[in-house]
Amino acid sequence: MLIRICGETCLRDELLIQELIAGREEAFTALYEHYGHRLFKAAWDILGRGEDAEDAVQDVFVSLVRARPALAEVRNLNAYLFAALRRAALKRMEQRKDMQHLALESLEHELPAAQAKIASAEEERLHGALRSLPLEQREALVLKIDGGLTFEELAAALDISANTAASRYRYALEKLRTALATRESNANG
Amino acid sequence: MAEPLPPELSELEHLLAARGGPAPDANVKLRVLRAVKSELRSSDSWRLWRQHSWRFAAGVAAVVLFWLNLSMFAANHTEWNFNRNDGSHGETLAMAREIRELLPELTEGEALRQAALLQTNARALPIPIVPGQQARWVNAKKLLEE
Repeated sequence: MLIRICGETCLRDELLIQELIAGREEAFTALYEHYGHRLFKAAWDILGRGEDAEDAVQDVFVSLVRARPALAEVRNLNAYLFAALRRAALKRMEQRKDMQHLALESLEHELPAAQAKIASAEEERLHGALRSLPLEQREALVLKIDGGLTFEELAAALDISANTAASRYRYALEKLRTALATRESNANG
Repeated sequence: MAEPLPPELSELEHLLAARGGPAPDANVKLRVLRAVKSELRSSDSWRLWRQHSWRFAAGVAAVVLFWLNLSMFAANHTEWNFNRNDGSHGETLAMAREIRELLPELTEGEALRQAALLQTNARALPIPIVPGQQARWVNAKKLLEE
């Protein structure tokens, strides 16, 4: 059976989950086509390296295959996938054993090929500022904005309370704003 | 309930949401789907193996139980009967009695079986034909053919 995802009208998450549980390859292809780009983008912003982002996305899909029986309990596939991505990203970081070196100054030097794909200087500054945030704030922003998670879903993904998730997100935005202003003033002056 | 964001942070939120980003290479899709396929196969083969190994084990257990029951049934219902036309049964009975005197823990049936075997061995031995030894043995098959 060929499955196409074209927004909420074409195929509901429930149907896709059933197909995933049944282990149909077409369902995984459809899932990648729908979520692959967003997951990669989020992984890239969390991990800072293209190859690590690719590995994290692959880990998410492989873990999805392994967790098929438990998928019946999933009510929000989007939130589930981004929570799985966050776990995969942290695991990838632990494997590299260089979490401390993921501070963004170092990452900016490691991404020439990926950064070349970013359109404007303004966007480059935005990505640079985002990467300068600590991991906790960066993942809160990425999961909320790229993953489209609610504060409750963000809290579940980060294993914190909803209030803490909301305040962390807000604080991350403020830090990002400050970092952007600093970068703009550096660029101008 | 989270407080609404001030306009400058809300604007930044929209800026972040609208930002571009690198697209994954086309090879990434192939790589991910290949990994999915491989994982699906290994998980399916493991699941099938578990199902079939359970059935196979159950089948083997059933056959073993059936064979044990059948052999016990056959052993418990086997009687030793002498041919009325054969006059050698007195000899067999005497040998069985001697065996029971030597080994009283043996049942009557087992003593008779051992006696029959000993008598048979004394008359016809299944041995390979060794050159130079033909004079000592008479081949039963040849006797039958004659």
